[in-house]
Amino acid sequence: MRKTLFIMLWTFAFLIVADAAIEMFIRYARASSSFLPVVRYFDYGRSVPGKLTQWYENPSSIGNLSKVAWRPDILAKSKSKFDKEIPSDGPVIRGYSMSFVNHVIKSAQKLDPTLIVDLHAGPGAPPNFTYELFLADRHNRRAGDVVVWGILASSLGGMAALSNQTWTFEQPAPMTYPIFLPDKDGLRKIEPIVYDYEDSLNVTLQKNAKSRWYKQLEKYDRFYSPITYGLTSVDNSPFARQVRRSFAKRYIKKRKSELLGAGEAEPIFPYASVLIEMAENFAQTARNDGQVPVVVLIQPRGPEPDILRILKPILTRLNIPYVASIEWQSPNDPKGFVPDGHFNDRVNHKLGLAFLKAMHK
Amino acid sequence: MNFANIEFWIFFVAVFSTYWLLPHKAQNRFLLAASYAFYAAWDWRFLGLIAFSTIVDYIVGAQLHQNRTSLNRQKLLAISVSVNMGLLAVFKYFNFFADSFVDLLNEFGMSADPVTLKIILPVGISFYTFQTMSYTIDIYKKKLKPTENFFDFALFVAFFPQLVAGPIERARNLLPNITHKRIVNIEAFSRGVVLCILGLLKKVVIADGVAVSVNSIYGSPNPSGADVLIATYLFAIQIYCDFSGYSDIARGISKMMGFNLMRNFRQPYFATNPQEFWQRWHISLSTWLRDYLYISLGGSHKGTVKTYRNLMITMALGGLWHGAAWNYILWGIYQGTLLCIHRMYSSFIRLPYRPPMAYQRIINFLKIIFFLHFVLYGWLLFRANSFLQIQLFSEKLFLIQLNQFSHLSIPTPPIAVFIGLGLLALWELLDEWHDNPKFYISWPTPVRAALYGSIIYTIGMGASQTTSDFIYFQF
Repeated sequence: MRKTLFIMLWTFAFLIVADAAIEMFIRYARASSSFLPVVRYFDYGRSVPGKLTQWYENPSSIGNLSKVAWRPDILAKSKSKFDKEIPSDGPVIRGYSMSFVNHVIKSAQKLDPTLIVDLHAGPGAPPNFTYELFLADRHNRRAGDVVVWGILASSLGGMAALSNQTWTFEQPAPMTYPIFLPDKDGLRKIEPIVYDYEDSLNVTLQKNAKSRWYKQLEKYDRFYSPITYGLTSVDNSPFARQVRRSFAKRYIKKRKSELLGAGEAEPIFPYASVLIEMAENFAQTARNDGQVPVVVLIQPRGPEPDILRILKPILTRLNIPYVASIEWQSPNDPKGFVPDGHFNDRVNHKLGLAFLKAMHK
Repeated sequence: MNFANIEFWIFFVAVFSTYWLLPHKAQNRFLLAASYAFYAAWDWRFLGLIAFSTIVDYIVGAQLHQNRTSLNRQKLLAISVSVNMGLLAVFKYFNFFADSFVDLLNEFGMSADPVTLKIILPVGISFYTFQTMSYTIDIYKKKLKPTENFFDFALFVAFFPQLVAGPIERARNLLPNITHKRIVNIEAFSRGVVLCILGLLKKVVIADGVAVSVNSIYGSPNPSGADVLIATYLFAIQIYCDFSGYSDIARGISKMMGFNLMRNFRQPYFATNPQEFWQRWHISLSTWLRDYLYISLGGSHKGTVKTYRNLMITMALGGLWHGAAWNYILWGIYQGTLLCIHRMYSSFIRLPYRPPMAYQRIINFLKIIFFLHFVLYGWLLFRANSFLQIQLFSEKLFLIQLNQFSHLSIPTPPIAVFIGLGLLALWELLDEWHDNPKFYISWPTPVRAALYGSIIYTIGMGASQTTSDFIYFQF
């Protein structure tokens, strides 16, 4: 009995010492910018407020997403670019999407260097983000332009979120976007109270603002959880961070699965109908403005809902040109992907060709 | 609710804290209720199946003991075997055989509508049916007396630590654990804890950690030979860690409650030949097949040809036990063939002299490496999704080129996997070296604590991966 107790105490002491030693090593490694993968591995489990604070305090740190993809910035940049454009240069391909689709459009541009492109994107941007950007950027387009709406299957869960920070736990980009819900007159929009980078900074510094923001997340964002936002003090222990990461990943996976039936073909109400209505509005709006709508559907690696199966009926019925990556690259074939999860050049080339074909159609 | 989820551990803490306070008889009733609750958490609709199998075998067992007429005893045994095999046939194999029959007819140009039942596989059915059958067969063979108490027998069938993925316990071992008063002491408890953390290291850190890499290649239409080779190595690690991890946890939590379950794995990848492999891998199944199938068929007592025939039948059926698919049967036949070949050559080849110990060790090591690759090819057959994939992947392996290793598309497993593998390799080597699973008992306290602490810390790191169900649940 006594020996067992001793062993337990020694084990506990070993865990504390090991944890402290690893934390010290990480601090040293971070300061010297060596061992970046190890530092990142142990940082993935930090709470969302913990990660955001780190980013705000170190704006130049590698992988910092705190200033990325804020809508006002994207729209301001778009306007400035639009104002400088010479209409006689020809129609512009305007993309509202994410890195996957940007790569496809750039591949198309390589194939046809006369193309003029103007891309607006966010990291792993969900359809509500890209759709809202498309609507808000309406004044920065001309008749004759080609409008590209990108949809990433792995980001469909974000349709139930107000920000990437709640559902992409490991890389919680604080950028925000509205949630669209079905309504009798079309789609109802719920705007986040955090709209830009300054708002985001404000909610981390001011208690009241933080409280209002968390209340809104709790009310509308289906991914918000105390598991990812609470107990910020345990962020000092690498072991506790790993345990949090485990719980957070399971929680988000479970939520996503409830929302979308992950791995199955048919997502559940209401987001499938929202997505279909968005596609319809997208095509109508673009056509009303004399523009050519093109939808690019990206099916990344792994088991995600088959977006082509969800959207094909509406795309066919409204004769909307589209490129679906699943028709060119199996999500189960690792040969088509680079280690960071994006398509490789060969696949992007094929998709670029398909994009040109769809656009000219 | 599986052993790798927090829900299970909450359940176990609740069960254990109540169990601890109860007297022996109440402990058994309580464990029975907890076992049914555990199974209901998987799928309550199949509780009736376990109850049915339990009632039938309890009655058959009692009748077998009372009945002295050989014919009646045979009929009673036939009832037990038919009911259990019938459950397996309907719930596990019906669709497979119906589809295969339709495919066969189509091959001969005859058309037939496939008749399939919309049924799902009840979790653990292969384990508990084999366990209850061993009870009636042992009574039939007069090796065992039936238990008098129905609820004790029901607990033997449904005991939750080993209900869904074994070990397939024999009544001779588990029933006395149930009927006799158990001793719950700190030594057994701490040994149980060690087994649990070792099991979690295997499952949560290693098996789940390599699963993504394995699945990406076995789900890929056209990987390179190097990818197939590495994915197959990783699958060998995955299936061992997944299944033996489950068995370790099952044994660990049983030990904490005073039960002693049999050891199901004994460093199988240190085997030097197929016979030794099956003495080290899934021991509860291989001994079940040996005692109730191979020996019933005549074993090795009816001549060489019949011995080989018996081996092949036993292993093919052993393959089929794993799942209703042709690749499992093929895997079983492959294992049977290896056993036959080994039996054949070991009766011919004998070294004329005994080499010195150092040479013996080198020879043994080379034998392990050599035989391991036969095991690995077997895992390819086991893991493949179709015959077409077996053919394609085999071609890739045989035409492998060195330059493929510089363009691997298989995802690299997380850091925790490598640390976990290092710890596990150390553990297995020491266990094998000392030929004692409790090799660490004599170590100084700080060294033992460092070992446990390292394992616990690595589990914390590995838990951040997404966990998946235990592979053997599907069997």
